[in-house]
Amino acid sequence: MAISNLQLMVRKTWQDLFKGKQNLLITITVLLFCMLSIGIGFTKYTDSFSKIKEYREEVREHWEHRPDKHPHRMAHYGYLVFRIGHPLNIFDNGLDDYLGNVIFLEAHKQNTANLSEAGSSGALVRFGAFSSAFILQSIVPLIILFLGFGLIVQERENATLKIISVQGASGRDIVWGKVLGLWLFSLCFLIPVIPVIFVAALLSQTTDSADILIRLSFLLPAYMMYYFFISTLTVIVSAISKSTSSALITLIGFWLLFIIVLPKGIQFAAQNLYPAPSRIAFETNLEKDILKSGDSHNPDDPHFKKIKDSLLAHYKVNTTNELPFNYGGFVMKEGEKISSQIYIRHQKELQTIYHRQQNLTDISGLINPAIALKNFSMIATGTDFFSYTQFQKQAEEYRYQMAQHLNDLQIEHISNIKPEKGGPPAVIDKDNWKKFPDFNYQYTAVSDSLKEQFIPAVALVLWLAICIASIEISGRKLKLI
Amino acid sequence: MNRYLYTQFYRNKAYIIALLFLFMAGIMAIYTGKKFLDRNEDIISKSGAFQKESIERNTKFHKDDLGLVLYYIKFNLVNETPRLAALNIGMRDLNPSIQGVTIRNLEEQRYNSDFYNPANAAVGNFDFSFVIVFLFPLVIVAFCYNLISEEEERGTWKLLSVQSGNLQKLLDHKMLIRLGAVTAVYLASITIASVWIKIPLDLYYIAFVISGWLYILFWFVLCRWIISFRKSSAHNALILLIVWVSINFIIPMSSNILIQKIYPVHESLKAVMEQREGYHNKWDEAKRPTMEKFYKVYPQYRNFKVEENDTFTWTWYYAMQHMGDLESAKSSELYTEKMQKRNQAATYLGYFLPNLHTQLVESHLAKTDMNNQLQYASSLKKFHEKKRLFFYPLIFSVKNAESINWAQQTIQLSSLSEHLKYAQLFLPYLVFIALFMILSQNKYRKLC
Repeated sequence: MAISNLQLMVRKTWQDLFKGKQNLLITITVLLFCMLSIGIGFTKYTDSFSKIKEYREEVREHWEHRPDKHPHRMAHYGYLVFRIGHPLNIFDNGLDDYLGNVIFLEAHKQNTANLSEAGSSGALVRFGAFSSAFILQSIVPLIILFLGFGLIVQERENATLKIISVQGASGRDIVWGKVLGLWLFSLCFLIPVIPVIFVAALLSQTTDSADILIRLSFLLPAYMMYYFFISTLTVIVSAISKSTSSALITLIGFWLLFIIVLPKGIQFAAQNLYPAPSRIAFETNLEKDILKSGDSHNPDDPHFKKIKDSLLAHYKVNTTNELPFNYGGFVMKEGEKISSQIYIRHQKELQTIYHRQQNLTDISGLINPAIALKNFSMIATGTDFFSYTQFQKQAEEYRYQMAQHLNDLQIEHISNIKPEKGGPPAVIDKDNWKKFPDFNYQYTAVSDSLKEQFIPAVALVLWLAICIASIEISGRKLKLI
Repeated sequence: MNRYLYTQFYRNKAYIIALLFLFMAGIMAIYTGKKFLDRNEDIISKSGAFQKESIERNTKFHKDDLGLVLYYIKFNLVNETPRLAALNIGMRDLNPSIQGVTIRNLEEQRYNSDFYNPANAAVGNFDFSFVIVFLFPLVIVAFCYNLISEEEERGTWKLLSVQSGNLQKLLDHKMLIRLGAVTAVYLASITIASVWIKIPLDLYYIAFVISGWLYILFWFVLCRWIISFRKSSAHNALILLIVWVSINFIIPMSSNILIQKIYPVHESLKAVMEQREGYHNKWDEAKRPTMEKFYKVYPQYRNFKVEENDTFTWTWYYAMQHMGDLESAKSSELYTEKMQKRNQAATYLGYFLPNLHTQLVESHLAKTDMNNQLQYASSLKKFHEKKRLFFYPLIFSVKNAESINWAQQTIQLSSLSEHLKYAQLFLPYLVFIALFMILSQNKYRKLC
């Protein structure tokens, strides 16, 4: 009997929401906006993808067609790698606008990823990018609040709540019924978007359908849980409030708190609790440490002097010119090893600071479900900071391999004796260039990202539990008059 | 009667809480700005020492090789940060206020932005302009949405219209009280900011304060018009909230993505590729053509000859480096043009959206906008050239590092002055304010 009462409540709420022409209009408008943003996002993504593909090919072609060269010159000619976001950024732009898009890779120097979209834009970019994720995360909750703030309080004001109760529905039935009805209605904003996203991401041809499906299968339940929270919040506030207007004002207050005030406040706290160094300070400290550990460019450097002496002793020769391999290449290889270790250490320190800042935001998901969802959504669409650091990491690994490979070529093939003026130059054959593989950027697997940042997911599940508990409590305590 | 209206307003706890909330937000924002300025100053003051250290180290290591010394040394140019930037951080958190460049090709170095956590950048700064643009309107809406409808819903409207001789005057008085309260909070925050951050009271600052206040006024007048339709409180609140969400989120966000789509900045990537090819390929080419191109730009160095079978000279090296800049010049210019177009589009949009206009105007006054960034980029270019032309003849004539007075090579300051166009700054506000004033006046006349 109880179940059918509940079913009746759900059906009634759902039908009431759908009956209003206004509500239908809102749903259609929101969906249109979502589709529009997906459309624009899709063309923008495919445009930049085709450009970047072209640039990647050009870079590769130039690399392969270098003439005979000294390997170290080639190491400074270096490589350019371009980043292209995950196709699901059509749905959730995440941090994409603020991430660098190109890194120049060369020997014994780590360059940063430069040229972000935001760096090329004016103040307008600070208002944010329009995406379906934004609509679904911020605007739809506002709509749910507006549609649902009166669900219980209005019935109480009209004295229909008492009538429902007399007809046999318990307080629990009423609250559950209203929440589920509102929630089912809110899914109308969400469900139609998912297949469109799937098709758009698939058409971009940058990743396979399995990857997209897995990511979407994380996204969908997360948004469903979020909407369940919003519906619960709306109905419970409606149940507690004395009047419709106070219910509405309380709910708008919650929206402001969750969407605007808390995210900014947490970000502000994170920046001040864990201050990050400036570029100049970072680079100066890095340079200092590298010089401390041994400067391969300095002939008097003790570290390299020791290597030199032990090499001379081992091969029983008097000068480095008599060594059976290229000494310069050997020193450079050692220098690269040391400097990149130091760089990685410094980079790690910086990343740790960013990671702590990020962690604080993640933890704030425990008090703010909107943040939990926002971060989870970025993780699931591969537009989060962790995925970006994986790109940087892959690029740095590739750079190191390239530099060391070219150092090896120098050690093997270049003579220790400098060429005479006008004589044949010290170069190696250009066939060597083709043999070195191209950089192949791999998207970070969503499972890795989730393992690394599990707090948002935990927070969402926790919020689901809190919602169920509070529905039960408020159902029992529901005031009918 | 007037005193009664005051008491009525100040007795409402919710109003006082809202004003306090606004004030607290303002103080927090000012604190954010203060932190930003302090960090900025710290970076700049340390950079002077860093540059000195680096010069000392390199001139000691490579004292016989000036070409090599200048391969390493970075010269820093500071983009002056006005104190006012604390109130509008704008794009200064992404674009560095100080940049160091070696005399090698500029294109390779100029795009090195400062480090920032993209997650923080994406959330945006909680600066004073944010408080003005986003939070002030909410409080204004909360104060005004039910000025008429509340009386009607309570059933006191009829009574009021009978008792009060002039309803419009009464309503305007209520609104003025609210405007006064909000203005007081605004001015209090501004005063605290100017004392705390020590912002000089110049034209920029005054224009900044006025633009913020006009924006506040705009919202009051908008509310005046909306409530004059005499719809229910809920209806008014809904309409005003929709306006707030639309102009603060939906329109700017969708314009942003459209502008990014219409003006894609692929040229920047192209420039990066071209400068790399432009410089590095010269190693594999004959020296003569490179030198000829270099002499064409700088004929004064024609007497520093480079022979085809010379192994390596710094003259050739720096000429090659310059080819990087030369061959990417076109793409680089196109990139700048694209950025200007993006900015222009946003400015035009701002004429129709007072909130965007406020953000743009205030970042313009605080020199944290894209215009300033582009100007700084061009002064960095000039700075780079000046350094090159100073060192080229010394390197080319194989001077050693000791022949230079390094003490003169300190960090330099680029202060860019903006010409203020008052019509452009204030007219968009005045047009909107006048428009809504007239519209609401028209409605008010029929009130009684």
